[in-house]
Amino acid sequence: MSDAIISIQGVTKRFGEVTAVERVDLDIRAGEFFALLGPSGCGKTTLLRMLAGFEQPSEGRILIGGQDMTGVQPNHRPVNMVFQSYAVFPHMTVFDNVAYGLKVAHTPRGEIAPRVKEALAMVQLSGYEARKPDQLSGGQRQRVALARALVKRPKVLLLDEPLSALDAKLREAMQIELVRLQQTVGITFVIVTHDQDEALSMADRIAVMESGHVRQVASPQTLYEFPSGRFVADFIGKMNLFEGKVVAREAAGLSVEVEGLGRLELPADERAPAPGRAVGIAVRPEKVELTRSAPPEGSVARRGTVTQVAYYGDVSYVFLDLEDGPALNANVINDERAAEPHFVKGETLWAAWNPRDFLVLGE
Amino acid sequence: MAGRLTSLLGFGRDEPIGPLDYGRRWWMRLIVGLTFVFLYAPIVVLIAYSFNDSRRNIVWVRFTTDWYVKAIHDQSLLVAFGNSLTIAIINTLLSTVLGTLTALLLWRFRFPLRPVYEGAIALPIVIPEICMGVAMMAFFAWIGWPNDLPWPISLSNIVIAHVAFSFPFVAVIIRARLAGFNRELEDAAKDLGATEWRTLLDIIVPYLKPALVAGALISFTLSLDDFVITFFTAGPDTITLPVKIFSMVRFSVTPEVNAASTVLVVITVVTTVLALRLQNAGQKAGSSG
Repeated sequence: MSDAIISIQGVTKRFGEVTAVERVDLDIRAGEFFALLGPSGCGKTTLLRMLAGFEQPSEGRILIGGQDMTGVQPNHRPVNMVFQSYAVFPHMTVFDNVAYGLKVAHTPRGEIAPRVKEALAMVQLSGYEARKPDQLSGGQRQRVALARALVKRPKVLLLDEPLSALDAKLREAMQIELVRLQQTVGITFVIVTHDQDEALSMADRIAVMESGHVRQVASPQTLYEFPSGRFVADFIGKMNLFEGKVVAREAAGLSVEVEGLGRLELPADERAPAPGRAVGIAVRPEKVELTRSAPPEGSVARRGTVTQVAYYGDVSYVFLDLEDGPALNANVINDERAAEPHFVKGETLWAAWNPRDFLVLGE
Repeated sequence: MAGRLTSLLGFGRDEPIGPLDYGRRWWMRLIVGLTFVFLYAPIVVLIAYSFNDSRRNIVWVRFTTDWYVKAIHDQSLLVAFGNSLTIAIINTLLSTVLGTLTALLLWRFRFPLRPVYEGAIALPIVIPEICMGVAMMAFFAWIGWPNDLPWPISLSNIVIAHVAFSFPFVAVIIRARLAGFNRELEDAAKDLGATEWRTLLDIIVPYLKPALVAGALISFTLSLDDFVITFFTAGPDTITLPVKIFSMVRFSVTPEVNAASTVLVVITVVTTVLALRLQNAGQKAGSSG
C-alpha cells in the first residue's frame, strides 16, 4: 500500500445521466508499467483523464505520490501525458515542442537545451531539433510527444492509446521500445489500450475494465490463465465456452454436466457454484490437442469433424463440430516445415484436453 | 485556325465525357464567359474611362492620368479618403479583437441561451443594410450622440456602426478555423504546465493566425466600402470616400469620380485576395497539425 504512487479510492465519474466510471479502487505501484485495458466505452480513458486532471471525479478521490489531487488542475500535477493524436504543436519546431513544458515552468535557460537534448536522445530523435511536425512521420511525432512529456521528469507518464495510429510493424517495434524506455527512466507508465496484445506484452499489471467497473487487476499471465470471470475470460485471448451445471462439489473433485460434452470430472475448485447451479466451462484453443488416433487413457476426449482451417503461418486455427453438437476451436502450432496442412476440412479427429486446463466460471 | 477553334470549343466530339470535363464544352464556356462579362464589364468600363481624356464618359479620346492628378488635388476628396482609412483601421482593430473573443466564447463555453446568442451574432450579417443604417441613425439620435466633437473623435459613431456590422464576419471566420482545432493541443499545453492564459497565447492564437489576418482584412474592406450604413451615420464633417463619391455622382459622373472609385476598387480587391489566400494557406497548414 505504501509503495502506491497512484491510489484511486472509490472514484465514480458521471456525465449527466451516464456513469462512465463507477466506484473504482485501484493502486498503481511506483515504477510499474500498468495498463488499463477494455473495450471502447468502458471508462478507461475517462479514468486516465481523471489522473491527468482534465476531469474531476464525481465521487471518491485520487492520490498521486500520497497527495490528494482533488481540485488540482492539470498544470499543477506531477504527471504528464502522451495523447492519442500526439498533440504535437504544429507551429513549433521539435526543439520548441520539447522545451515548451520547461519554458512555462520557468526552468533556467541554461538548463533547457541540455535537457531537451537528453530527452530527444532518449527517444532516438537527436538531430531532428529544427524540424517542424509536418516534416515528421507518425512514429517520429509520437517520439516527440514522448520526449516532451518525459523531459518534465514526471512521477507518472500517462499514455492514451499511444500506438493505435501506427501501422502493425511499427506498433510492434514501439511496444518493445516503450518497455525499454520505461525500464531506462524508471518512471511509472500508465497506458490505456483496447488492444489486449499490447497490454499483455508490455504491462507488468493490467486492470481489465468493463462498463465503468474494474473486473480484474492482475499480471498478464494470471489474467490469461486464471481470469476471474466470464468477461475477462472472453475478452483476453480466444476461448471455447460451454454452458453446464454443477452436479457435485467435493474435496476430491468437481463434477459438471456440460451441454454437448457430457459429464466432466474436474479438479476441486472451491470457487465453483453450489451443486445444481449453472456454470460456465471454458478452455483455451491452444490447450486442446488434436489427434487422428484415439488419445491415451485419463484424458478427456471427444470426436469432431473439421469445418474450417485458418492458416496464420506460425499457427493454424482449426474449427470443429463435436459429435454432440458444440463447436470447438483448437490451435495447432505449425512446428514442422510442410507444404500441406496438417489437418484438412471434413476430417474426423479426436479433440483431447487435460481436465486441469478447464476454467470454471460462475455467474 | 478555324479547326482549332472548333476543337477548342468542343464541337465535333462524340465520345462520352467525365463529370469534370464539362469545362471543355462550348456552351459551358459560353455561360462562364457571359457570367464574367455581366460581373466585371461595368467595373472594367469604370476603370477604363478613368484614363480617358474627356469630360464625358461616352467616347474614348486618348489615354491620360490627369483625372488621378485632379483627384489627388481635390481637398474634399482627400479628406473623405483620410476619414475612410482612419475609420477602416480603427474598425479593423476593434472588430478583430471583438470578433475573436466572441468566437472563442461560443467555442469554449457552454452557457444558457447560447444558441440564441449565436443566432443574434449572425443577425448583422443577414439584416438588410438599409435597416441597419436607419436603426443606427435613430439610435444615435435617441441617445443624443454629440455631433460637434473634434476630429478624429467625431468619427466615433461611424466606427461604432462599422464595428457592429463587421465583427460578426470576423467571428464567423474565426469559428470556422476553431472548428478544426484539435482540443488535445490545448490539453497538452495545460498538461505541460501552461495556464489557461498561456495556452491561449502560445497555442490557440498561433493556430488562429491565418484566420485572424483574414478576418482583419475582411473587416477592413467591409468598412472601407460601406456606403449605406455610413450614409445614415455620417455628419457633414465626417464624409467618407464612398459617401463623397455618391454626392459627386449626384451632380455628374465625371472621370474624377471614376479615378476615385478605381482607387477604392484596387484597395478592396488587393485586400480581399490577400484575405482569401491567407485563409487557404491556413487551411493547408491546419490539416497537417
